Amino acid sequence: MDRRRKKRIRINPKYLLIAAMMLCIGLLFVSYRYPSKVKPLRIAVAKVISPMQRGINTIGRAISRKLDNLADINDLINENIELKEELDQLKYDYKMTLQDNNELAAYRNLYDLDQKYVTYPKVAARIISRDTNNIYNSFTIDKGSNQGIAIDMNVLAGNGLVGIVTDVMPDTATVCSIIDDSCALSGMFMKSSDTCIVSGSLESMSKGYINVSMISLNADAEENAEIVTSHISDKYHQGILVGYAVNIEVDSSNMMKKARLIPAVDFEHLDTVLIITELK
Amino acid sequence: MSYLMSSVRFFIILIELLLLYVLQSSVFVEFPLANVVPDLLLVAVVTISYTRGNKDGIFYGFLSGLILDLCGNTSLGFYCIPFVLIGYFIGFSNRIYRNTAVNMPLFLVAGGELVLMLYYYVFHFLIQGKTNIGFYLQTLILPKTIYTVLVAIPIYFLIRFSVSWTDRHRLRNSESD
Repeated sequence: MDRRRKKRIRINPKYLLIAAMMLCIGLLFVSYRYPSKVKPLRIAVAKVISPMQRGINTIGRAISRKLDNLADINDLINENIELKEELDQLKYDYKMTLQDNNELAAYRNLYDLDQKYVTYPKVAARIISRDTNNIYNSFTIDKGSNQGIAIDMNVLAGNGLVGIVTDVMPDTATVCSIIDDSCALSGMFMKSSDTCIVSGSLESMSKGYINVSMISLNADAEENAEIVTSHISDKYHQGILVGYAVNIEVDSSNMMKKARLIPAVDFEHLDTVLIITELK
Repeated sequence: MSYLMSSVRFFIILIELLLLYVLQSSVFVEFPLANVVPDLLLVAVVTISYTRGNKDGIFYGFLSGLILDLCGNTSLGFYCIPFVLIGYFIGFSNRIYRNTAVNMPLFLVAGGELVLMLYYYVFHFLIQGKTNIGFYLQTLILPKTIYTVLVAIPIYFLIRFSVSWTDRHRLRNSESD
């Protein structure tokens, strides 16, 4: 047996390593230069993987829901009391807003204004897997091009902006969230229409906020002002709530102001998202 | 016959790698500790190259990197490079491989995870000018290393079992030849 082993050609692992590294660099080059050539391969792999992820995910989610059920019941009672108080307050606010709204509708009719915020067609999707290195920053959803999803569609949860679709497969799509380090979008203050740049960062998100920069010095920016997506963005629809600006201060260049933005969406408990199936 | 067995081993390990990927991207993200998820594929690569040497380390390192790249959102080859390097260098520890020692693979997993996360830090954060490495060590690199080491033991035994099982069959077959 030993003799037969010796007859085999032995390659020095060093050369194997060099060959593998060259293959890796070649692959990097190909996938960077010709992404469309790599796409069919990715689609084929996604066809195998995503049903498994979908299946296993339902099991994992069921277990984690069971664990959540064991949460202290006292917390729930206290929360219920708080919520009831809040509900009363909100009911009152709602009536006031309703009155304002009626008034506004009358004025709009008077001025023959178009409705500013059209209701966009939306599709709901579930999150089936996440980027394993920073889990809240990019994730995969269970709808794809077969369900009418396309690249650059806006993704919402509740009332706030979550992110944007960056990659589409037949039955899945990848979403990059606004708190990712590679994401920056043009926002504006809802009241004064002063524009700014909202950029994600893992470092500041660990303290609960992301960064807002390039606010003009004479902008009418108040604390807790609502920041929405701006009219000059070419990918995001205008007027989607991003979050609330706090700590507004003059930045180090003394030419602009910067601020912290508390996102409107709770990224840690994201489960289902809404996709606006209309491109800007 | 040995070719048949090594291709059987290839398919078994391939399926195990895919399952580990699905586990890490779908189940473990529901139970993150300190907001991180362990790298199960890295444990598999470290185990293979510790028990089989650098050639298998390079091969299966490349395969796992490719799985991560194809299923994730990174360019092809982004994860292949660190996985191939880790597979190659940890393969040298094959000379001191002993069946009974469990602490050695854990050290190797920790080392490999540190290298992988430093690589990720350099090419995902440092490249965008985020120089505060202390923060990333604290919130990403160290927690992830600890979590990976915690879950490494069952995966180490699973992979080692499937490697040695196919080896045993090959030996038996070549003896009967």
